[in-house]
Amino acid sequence: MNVTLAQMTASLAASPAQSMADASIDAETTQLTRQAQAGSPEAFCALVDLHHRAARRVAAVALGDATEADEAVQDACITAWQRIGRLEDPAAFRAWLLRITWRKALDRRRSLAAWLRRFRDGAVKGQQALEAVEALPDGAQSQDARLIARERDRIVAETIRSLPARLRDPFLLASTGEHRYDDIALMLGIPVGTVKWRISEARRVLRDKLIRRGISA
Amino acid sequence: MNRDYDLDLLDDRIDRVARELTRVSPDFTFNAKLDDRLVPTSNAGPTFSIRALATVSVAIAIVMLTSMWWRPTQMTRTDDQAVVPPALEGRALAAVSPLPLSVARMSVTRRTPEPTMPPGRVATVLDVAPLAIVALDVDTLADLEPLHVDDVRVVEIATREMREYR
Repeated sequence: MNVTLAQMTASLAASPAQSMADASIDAETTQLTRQAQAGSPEAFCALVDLHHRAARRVAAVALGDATEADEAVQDACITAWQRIGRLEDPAAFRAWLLRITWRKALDRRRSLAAWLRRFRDGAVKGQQALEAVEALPDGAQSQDARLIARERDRIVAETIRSLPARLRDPFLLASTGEHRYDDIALMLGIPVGTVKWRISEARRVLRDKLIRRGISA
Repeated sequence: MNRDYDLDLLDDRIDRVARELTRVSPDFTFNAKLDDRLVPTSNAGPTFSIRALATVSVAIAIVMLTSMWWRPTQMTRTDDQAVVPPALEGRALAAVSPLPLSVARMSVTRRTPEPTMPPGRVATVLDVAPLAIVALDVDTLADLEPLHVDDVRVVEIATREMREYR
């Protein structure tokens, strides 16, 4: 069961069932976007329902905190509603919303207030994030094995967070499994080749750091 | 072989933890649909109008402040130029006494013992204060005697352009 992220992404892209589901969502998105552009708030809310999960994961990558991510998505949706008339291609709504969300999340990440909040609550939120990791199913492991696995996961999470943003952002965006390299490149405003290189480099750095810390598996 | 296997396991762990770090709860409520923020887009004008109004107000304020700063500067500069050289101060001022004291900047660059000014010659003085042109005819210039002025320079810089009349 050793499926790497790249293999997982490729399998998602190649799955016929997934492709049909994507086509259905794309058609619905296009139709709803046209209605929203005509001034229908209900259609816009339906669009948000379709795509908020992807948007919130994008914001979570930038902010590292689910609550802040949700606030960024609220802001992004308001902005998207105000500007939806300018969107030329209704089929591109999802990518457009994710780009707005990414910019809103970056604004929050760069704001002084957010920095102070993270500094003040850093320990608590870091602990919350790690609790999510610790809540993973343990299977039939012994108590000791579970403790060791959780400690290793905690160190892995800490190491991922310690990556520089230019490596961490594309790596975490790819790890959601919801975005193609093209989408990530559009969001970050960098070429696709650079996205691939940064993801690969992030993995290499993570491996090196974790092996130095004694996490070999 | 073991090392490759371990690296695969490590990659699995990294990917699993990375996914968890961006995991979000399924519950999400778009707050705007609960209040009045989602007005039809065609009515979204007021936001723009308020912004435009603020922009225009700031622009007007900048223009007003700039004009307040610029005018006194210009007047001060003009006044500074309307200085009569000390050597001529008493008589020259007497000669142009009908005019405002800030009428012109005058200087004598050369004095000759006899008047050489041809009849009908007109020297022009620009009155810098009201920016009106005032002419001094030869007779008026002759009143500058006994300086025997034949080389009076009336220099006007009110329009930032120096003109000399001999």
